[in-house]
Amino acid sequence: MKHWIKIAFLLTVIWSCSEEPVETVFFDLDTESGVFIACEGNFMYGNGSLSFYHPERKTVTNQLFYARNNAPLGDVLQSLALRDNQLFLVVNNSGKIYVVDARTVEFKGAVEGLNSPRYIHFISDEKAYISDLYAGNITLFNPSTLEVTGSIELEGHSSEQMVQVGKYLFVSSWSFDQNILVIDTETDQMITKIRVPLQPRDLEVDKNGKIWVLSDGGYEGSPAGNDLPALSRLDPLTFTVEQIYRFETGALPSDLEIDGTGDTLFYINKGICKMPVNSRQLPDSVFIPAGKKLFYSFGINPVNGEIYVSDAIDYTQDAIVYRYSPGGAVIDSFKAGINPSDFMFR
Amino acid sequence: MRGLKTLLVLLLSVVCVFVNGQNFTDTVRIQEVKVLAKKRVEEAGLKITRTDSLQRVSSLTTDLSELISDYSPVFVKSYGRGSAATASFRGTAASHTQVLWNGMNLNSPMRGFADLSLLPVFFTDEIYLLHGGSSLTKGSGALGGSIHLGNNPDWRTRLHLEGMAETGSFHSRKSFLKLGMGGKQFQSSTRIFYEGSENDFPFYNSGVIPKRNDTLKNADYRKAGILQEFYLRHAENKVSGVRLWYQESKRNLPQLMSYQGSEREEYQEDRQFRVQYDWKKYSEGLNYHFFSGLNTTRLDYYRATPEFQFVNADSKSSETSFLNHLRIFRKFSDQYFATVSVDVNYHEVEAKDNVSSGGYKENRLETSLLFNLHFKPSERLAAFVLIRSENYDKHVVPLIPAAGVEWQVFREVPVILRSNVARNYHKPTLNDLYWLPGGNPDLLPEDGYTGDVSLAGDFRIGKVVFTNELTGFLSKVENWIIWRPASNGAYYWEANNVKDVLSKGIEYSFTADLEWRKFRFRSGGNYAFTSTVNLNAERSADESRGKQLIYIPKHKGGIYFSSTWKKFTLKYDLNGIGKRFTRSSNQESDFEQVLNPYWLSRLSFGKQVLWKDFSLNLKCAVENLFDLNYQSILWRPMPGRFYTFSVAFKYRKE
Repeated sequence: MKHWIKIAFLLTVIWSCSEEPVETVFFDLDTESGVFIACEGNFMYGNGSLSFYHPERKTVTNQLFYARNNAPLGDVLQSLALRDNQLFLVVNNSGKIYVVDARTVEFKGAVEGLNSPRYIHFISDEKAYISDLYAGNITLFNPSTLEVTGSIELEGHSSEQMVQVGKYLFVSSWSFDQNILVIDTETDQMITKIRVPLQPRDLEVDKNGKIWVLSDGGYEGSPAGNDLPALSRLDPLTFTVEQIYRFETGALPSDLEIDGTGDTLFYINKGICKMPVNSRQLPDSVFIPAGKKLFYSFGINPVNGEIYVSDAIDYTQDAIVYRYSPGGAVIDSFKAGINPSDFMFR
Repeated sequence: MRGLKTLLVLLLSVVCVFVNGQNFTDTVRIQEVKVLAKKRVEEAGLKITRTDSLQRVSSLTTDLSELISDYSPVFVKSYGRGSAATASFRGTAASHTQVLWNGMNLNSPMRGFADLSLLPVFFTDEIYLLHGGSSLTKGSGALGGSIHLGNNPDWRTRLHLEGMAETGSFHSRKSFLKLGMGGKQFQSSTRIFYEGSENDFPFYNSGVIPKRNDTLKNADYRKAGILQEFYLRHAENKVSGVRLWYQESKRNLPQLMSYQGSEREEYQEDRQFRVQYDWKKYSEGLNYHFFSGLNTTRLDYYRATPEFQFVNADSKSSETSFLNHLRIFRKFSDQYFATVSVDVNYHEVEAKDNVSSGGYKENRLETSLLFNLHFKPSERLAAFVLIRSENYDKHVVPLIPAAGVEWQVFREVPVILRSNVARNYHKPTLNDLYWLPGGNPDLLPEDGYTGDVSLAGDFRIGKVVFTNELTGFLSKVENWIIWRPASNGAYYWEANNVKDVLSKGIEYSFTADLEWRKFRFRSGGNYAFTSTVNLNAERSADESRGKQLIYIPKHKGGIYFSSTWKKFTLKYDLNGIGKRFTRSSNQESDFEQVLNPYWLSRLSFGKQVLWKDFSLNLKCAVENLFDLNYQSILWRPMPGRFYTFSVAFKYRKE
C-alpha cells in the first residue's frame, strides 16, 4: 500500500506545478526608421506575430503584440497598414483588424465581423477600404472610430490588393478570376473592370502613373483554367491593358514590389528579379538568386532601396530575414516570426 | 485550489487502496501474460496491446479515440469533443496508423487515415493494437502500428438484450441498444447508437482582447449508426457471416479562440456504409479465412459566411473500396506452421467542389501476397519470418520482410522476451498523388525500418498480482510525405517527400489486481516515451534537425484505480500528456508557442444490480475533475469540469 501512496504523492507534486503568468512587456520603439514585419504564422495555428527591426542598431524584436498585450494576434497576419501613428494589423483568418499604437504596440481597438480580410487602403481620415478574399464586397470603415460604415458591391468578384490613381481605386480579383476592378472612391461604386491575365494578385504604380499587375496564371487542372504567369501594364486613365509580359513555362513568380522612386519593379522567381519599368522585356537573369533559401516574401525600403527578403526555411519555424543593399549585397540577417509576409517601412 | 487537488488525490489513493469488491461486469478478465505454450502460434513474436474488459466497459459509451487515449500508450490527437481524432503510434503520423474492422481496412484511401471519433466502442467485441512491425502480419502501411476491431458471435446466447442511455453536460445524450438472438447454428446481432451534443461549453477565452468568459459556438454534433450481423454455422467447422454497418454524422466545426469575424457556417457530414461477407473453415491443421467487403464513405464539407452571402467551400468526396482477403493457415507439425494470404483491393475516389468546380477522380488497384512461416521448436521458444509482396497501380513495392522471436526465459515463470524487426512502407494517399492543386504523382512511398524488444512478466507481491510489459522501439521512416507551400512562393500547397524521421522510445504498461475480503481492487497504467525527430534538414539555417516533430508529446501516460465493494464501484482515471511543440525548431517562449503538459482526472462511481439473468448498472462520472484549463490543439478550447450519468441494462439468456 505504501507504493500507492508514494505514487499518488509523486503525481500530486507533478500536477501541482503550474505555469507562471506571462508578464507584459512595454515598448517604446524608435519607429522613425524601422520596419514592421507581419509574420503570417501557420493557417489554423493562430500563431501570427509582429516583429520590428531597427536597421541602424541592427536589432530585432519579435512577438511584439503578444509581449505588449498579453494576447495572441490571431490566425494568419496577412498585411500591415500605417496611418499616422496607428498600425493596422489585418488578421486574415481571425476575421478582424487589430489597431495598435505604432510606437508602443499597445492595443487600441479592432474592426471585427469581417470574413477573410486581406489588405487596407486609406482614402481619408474617415474612410478606408478592406479587401476580402471570401466576400463579394469591399468593406468600408472609419479609421478614426473603427466603425464599419458600408460596403461596395463587387458583382460576384472577390478583392485582393488595391492601388489608387487619382480618384480611382484598382482592385485585383485574384481567386479564380482575371479582372482588375475599378472603383470610384468618391461614389464608392464599382464602375468597370479590366480583363487581365489569369489570377491577378499583386499591384504596383510606377513613376509614370502606370499600374503593374502580376498574375500567377492559376494551376494545372484549375477549374478557372491555367495560363502562363504574366506581368501586365495598365493605363489607369483609359482602363486598358497596354502591355503583357508572359513568363516561361514552369515559372512561379510572386510578390510584386516597386522601389521608392517608382522606377524599378521587383518580384520573386527563383530569387529576387528586378526589371526597370521602361524595360521592353522580362529580365533574363535573377538579381539575387535564392539558392537553397525559400524566399517567401520581400519588401523594399522606399527611402534607401534596401531589400528585405524572408526565407521561410521549412514554413514551421521562425524565418530568417536577409537585408540586402540596393546592389544586392547582404548587409544583415535576423530571425523574425513564422512566414513573414509583409514589410511596413517608416 | 492546489491544496484541494492535493487532498483529493491523496484521499482517492487511500480510498482506492482500501475499498475493493466486484466491478461493473460480472466477470473481469485480467490481461494476462500467457505462458508461451498456451499462446496462438500466429501471435508469437508480436507486440500486441489488448484492452481488458474493465477498460472496455468503462469506455463502452465512448468512441475509439477515448479508449485508446486513456488505456494505451498511443497518442491520440483530438480536435475536441466529438471532433476528428487520429492516432499516432510511436511518433508517426496519423496516416501511419491503419485501422482494420474484422480485417477490413477502414483508412480513407484519399486522406490516408481513419477518424477514430467515428468508431463507437459499442460496435466492437474485441479491440487490440499491433505495434510497429507486428502490424505486417495483418497488412502493410502501418509504419506506426494498427488498430484492430473485431465482432464475434456468441453461440451460447439465445437472447441478449442490452441498452444504455447517457446524459451529460452541454446538452449531451447518448443511446445504445443491442439485440442478439439465435442458437448454436444461427446468430443475429443488431446494434444501434445515437449520440448528440450541443457541445456549448463555457471556457475562458484568452485568444481575444479583452480576455473573457466565453461559450463555444457552432460545435454541436450528431452521430448515429446501425450494425447488423448474421452468422451461420454450416457445420461444426464452417462459419460464415454477413456484417452491415451504416453510420452518419454531422458535425459543426467551431473557429479558433481568436476568431472575431462574421459568423461562419462550417460543417462536415460523414456517411459510411460497410458490408462484409466472412467465411471461415477450420480443419485438422488447415484453416481458411476469406472475406469480401465494400467500404463506402461520403464526406461533405461546407463553409459559408451568411452575412456576406459567400460560400467558400461546398466540397463532396466519395470513396468506394472493394476489399478481398484470403488467408490459409497450415500446421505442418507441432513445430512448423505457415500462413499464406492474398489481398486484392480496389479503390475509387472522387472529390468535387461545387464552388470552384475543381476536383479529381481516380482509382487504384492494390494487391498483396504474404508468406508467413511460424516456428515453435519448444514450448518456450517461437519465431516467425514473413515476406510481403505488394503492387499498387503500376508500382511494384520492394519485398517487405519481417521476423520475430518470443522466448519464455524460465520454464516455470511466465517471463517472456520478445523481439521483432521489419521493413515497412506506406503508399502515398490518392490526395497526395492527385489533389488539385498540389498533388504530386511522382511521390515515392514512405519507406520504414522498425524494430522492438519487449520484456513481459507476471509477479505477485503479497496478494497483489501484477502484469507488466516493457518495450523499447526504434524506427526510421524515409521519404516522409509533407504538404507545404509549393516552392518559390506559389500560393498553393504541394505534397513532397521531405523528411527522414527517426523515432525511438519505450512503452510500459501494467495491471495490478487484489482481492481482499469483500473488496476487489484493480489498477492499470501505461506510459510512453517517444523521441521522434527529423533527420533531413539539409541547410544549416534549418533548426528542425534533431528536434521533436510538432504535436507529438515525448511523454504520455495514464493510470487508473478501481475499487469495488458489494457491487459499488469507484474508479479514478488520471491521464497525462507532455509538452507538445508547434514549431519544428522546438522553440519556446512565453508566448504560447508550445502546448503545455496537462493531467486530466476522471472520477466515476457506479452501482450494479443483479437479478437472475438481468443486470442494471448506474454510473455517474465527473470528467476533468479539477476543472483544468488546457489546450490539445493550439487555440482550440477544451471543456472544463463536466458530468455524465448513465443507465445500462443487460439481459442474457443462454
